[in-house]
Amino acid sequence: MKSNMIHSVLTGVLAVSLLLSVVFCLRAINSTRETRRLALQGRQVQFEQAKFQNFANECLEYSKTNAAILPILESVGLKLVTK
Amino acid sequence: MNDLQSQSSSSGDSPETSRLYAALQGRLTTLLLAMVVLSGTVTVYLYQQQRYAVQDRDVTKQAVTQLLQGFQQQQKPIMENFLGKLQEYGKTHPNFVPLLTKYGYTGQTATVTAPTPAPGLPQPDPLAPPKQ
Repeated sequence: MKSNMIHSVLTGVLAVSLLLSVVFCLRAINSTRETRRLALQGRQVQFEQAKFQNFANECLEYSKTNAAILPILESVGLKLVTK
Repeated sequence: MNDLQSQSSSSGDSPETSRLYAALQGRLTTLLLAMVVLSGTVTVYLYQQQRYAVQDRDVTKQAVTQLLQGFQQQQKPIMENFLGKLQEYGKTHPNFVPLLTKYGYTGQTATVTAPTPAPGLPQPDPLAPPKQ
């Protein structure tokens, strides 16, 4: 009888432990997924900034042969930065 | 287990059967204890992992939110204003249009396409080359 009670208690503890494991596992998976999604958004912004920087550099190169664009570049301080 | 006990007691067991039954119960207890310890270890490990994952998420969320806010509020208006001027410039200087086209800043669709922090929406691949 005592042995049966011990078995019941142990089985209950085991069940609770397994349940907690599942909960923690799901939370870890969801958090990791969210982290990846956020990191992707951050990379998108960085990509957009890099793309725009390349574009600005090419505009500066273009300005060497077409000075008419210089006022536009200077209006955002591009020429000043590179000088 | 109870069935086994009742069967063994009702059928007038020999001492050998009782000894085997007790040994079986002992082994079952040991096995259950081992499983509880093992499962507890795994649970603690998973708890730590989920804690680290939540911390990572919170740190990333804070950094990305700041980055996005800075981009949306400060850089994006300047970039779009700059692109607008360059598009106007491209209308009078056709030799500049290929440069706008190369980076996908042509026509009415020439906007800076940074992501808005909308959870759950699929995002385009940031590593894709600029639209031609």
